[in-house]
Amino acid sequence: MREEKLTKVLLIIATLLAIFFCLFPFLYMLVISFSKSWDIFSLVKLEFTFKNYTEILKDPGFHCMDYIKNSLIISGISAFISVFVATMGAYAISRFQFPFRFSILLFILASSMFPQISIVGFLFKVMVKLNLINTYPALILPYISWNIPISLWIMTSYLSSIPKDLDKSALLDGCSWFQIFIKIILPVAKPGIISAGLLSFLFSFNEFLFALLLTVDYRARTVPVGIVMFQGLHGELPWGSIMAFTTLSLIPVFLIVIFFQKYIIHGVIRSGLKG
Amino acid sequence: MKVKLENISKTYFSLRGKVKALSEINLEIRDREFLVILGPSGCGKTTLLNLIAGIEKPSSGEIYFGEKLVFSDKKNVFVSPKERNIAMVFQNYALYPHMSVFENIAFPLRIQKMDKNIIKKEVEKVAEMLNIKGLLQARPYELSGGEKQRVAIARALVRKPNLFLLDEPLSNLDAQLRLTARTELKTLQKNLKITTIYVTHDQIEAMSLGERIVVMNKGKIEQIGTPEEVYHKPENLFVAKFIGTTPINFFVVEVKSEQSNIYGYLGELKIEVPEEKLHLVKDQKIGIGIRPEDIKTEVEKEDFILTVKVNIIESLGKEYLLHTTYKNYDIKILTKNKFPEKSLIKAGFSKKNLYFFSPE
Ligand SMILES: Nc1ncnc2c1ncn2[C@@H]1O[C@H](COP(=O)(O)OP(=O)(O)OP(=O)(O)O)[C@@H](O)[C@H]1O
Ligand SMILES: [Mg+2]
Repeated sequence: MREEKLTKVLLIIATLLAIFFCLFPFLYMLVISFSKSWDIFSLVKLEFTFKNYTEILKDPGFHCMDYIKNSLIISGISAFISVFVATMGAYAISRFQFPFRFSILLFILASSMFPQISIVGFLFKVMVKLNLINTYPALILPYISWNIPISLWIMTSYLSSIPKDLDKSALLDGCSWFQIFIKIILPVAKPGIISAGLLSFLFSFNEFLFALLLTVDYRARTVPVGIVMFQGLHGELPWGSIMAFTTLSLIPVFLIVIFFQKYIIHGVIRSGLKG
Repeated sequence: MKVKLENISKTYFSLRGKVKALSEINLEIRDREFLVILGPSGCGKTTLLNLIAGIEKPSSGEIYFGEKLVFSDKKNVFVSPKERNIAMVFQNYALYPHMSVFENIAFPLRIQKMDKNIIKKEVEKVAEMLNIKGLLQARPYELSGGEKQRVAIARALVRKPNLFLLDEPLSNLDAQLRLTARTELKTLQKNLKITTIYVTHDQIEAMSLGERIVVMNKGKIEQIGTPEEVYHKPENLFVAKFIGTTPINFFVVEVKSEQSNIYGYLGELKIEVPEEKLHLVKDQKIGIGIRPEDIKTEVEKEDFILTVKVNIIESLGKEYLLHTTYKNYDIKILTKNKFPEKSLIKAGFSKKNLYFFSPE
């Protein structure tokens, strides 16, 4: 009995440590964003204030809200399109017999493995030619292609786990292939779709390199690049403003993740099968 | 509706190579018949249903629904499952997990874009028939196995199919429920008068449900007949072994001709091989079968009487299964009497209960 209790206590301590370890930077960010001094090495001198927030929100030169808006739109659209395309691809791979199905899957995954930096120069030239620099599509398009492989991979394994008898049953009930996809597969695969969508969203939201090179100003610039631009503005590192801005930009992401999380947790395929 | 299969074959090409799931199936299902397809796991039962339903295409052959050709490889005919108006209850029920029971049953009608009020009426009617009115708002994952099975049947029947296919619908229920479900199914089919094909690997289920039974093995039909026919007149050893509560006793014996007759020698017993079975003799040998329940331990006027040694007794409740030996033959006997182990007892059987097979 005592041993069991001890294990339990240790387990709780370990969990708390892990949580603390993960959340510490976050906590730090919050503290700094609400304090007057941004001397990160002497926490004792901290004083509570809203100044950092009011400052960046008032001064239109910071373009805080623009960056957040850009990030949300770009990440949202690219996540939506890449998951939609990936789900249809996964449906084909998991449901139809055609040669080299798995080779195609591996090939697509492999193509996402080479580093971003290796194509960024080429991508820049293409976007210049297409006259897309500093527009949303300049980021949305590469993000879509960057997100599709992992989404395809997630969706293929998810759709493969949905029993084929559901398709057959729907086929006999009079559905066309497209109706089966829309009315049966999509709803049943919702948890998988949401996981893949969130992953894609977060990747696009955090992406830096493409965003840095393919955007010029507030009209398309995203949050990560915006944060970096803060330093250039003042010469020294304005930690308070940076942290305040980061905190602001994380609020919508947080809300999105919390809203969708319940679908992921319920994400076991609720069985309509025997047993 | 009458259904006819002509020379249906199905070969799968999969990672493990060519798999011949069905070969040369010829079968006619009569209008309003309750036909049972019986066979061991992997013999191609589900494949056969899929071909009839149109979920998969045969590799060759022709399928007729009534007089209408619905599949032919030579004439390049394929009628889609939708147009065949067939309902199927799947081996695992395949209820749509994201829909309530009501929506599950209504789904085929919704696809046909029926009027909302009619749908509601129809769904309630089948729900009433299958005693699941109380479950209409439930989700599939809340249901027990027996309830899922009813919902699956309701969904299949709601659009009044021409042909009703059932793939081992009772295999996941407990023994008690299976018995009641069986009776209900039979009554339901009788009332609705739908041509039904029922797949099972359980011979008792097959015997009690089927008007005719198709015994299958390794993608081939071994015998088609009424329950009585497959039980009393098995055409080959496979059918004889597969049908019956306990497997048939089977002996390979030497044959010798004496005067004008041919005899098989089972130890000291001299068994006459009837003339019409003589073609089964191969290399001076023939196979003889006798069911455990046809061997009597109260010997009266049996044609053959022998003394056997009881090795093991298995109690089956109202009966006992004796594992005995006679010479170097193992004989199983089903009897109401209990005997001590290791005892010697008299047993007997009659000519008319013997089956003859080729000695393989
Ligand atoms: N899609 C497929 N690809 C390759 N082989 C298949 C496929 N479907 C079935 N088979 C093979 O065909 C044979 C018959 O399968 P089927 O599912 O019809 O058996 P069954 O009689 O329904 O068995 P059970 O009683 O276990 O359900 C098996 O050997 C199986 O492995
Ligand atoms: Mg099967």
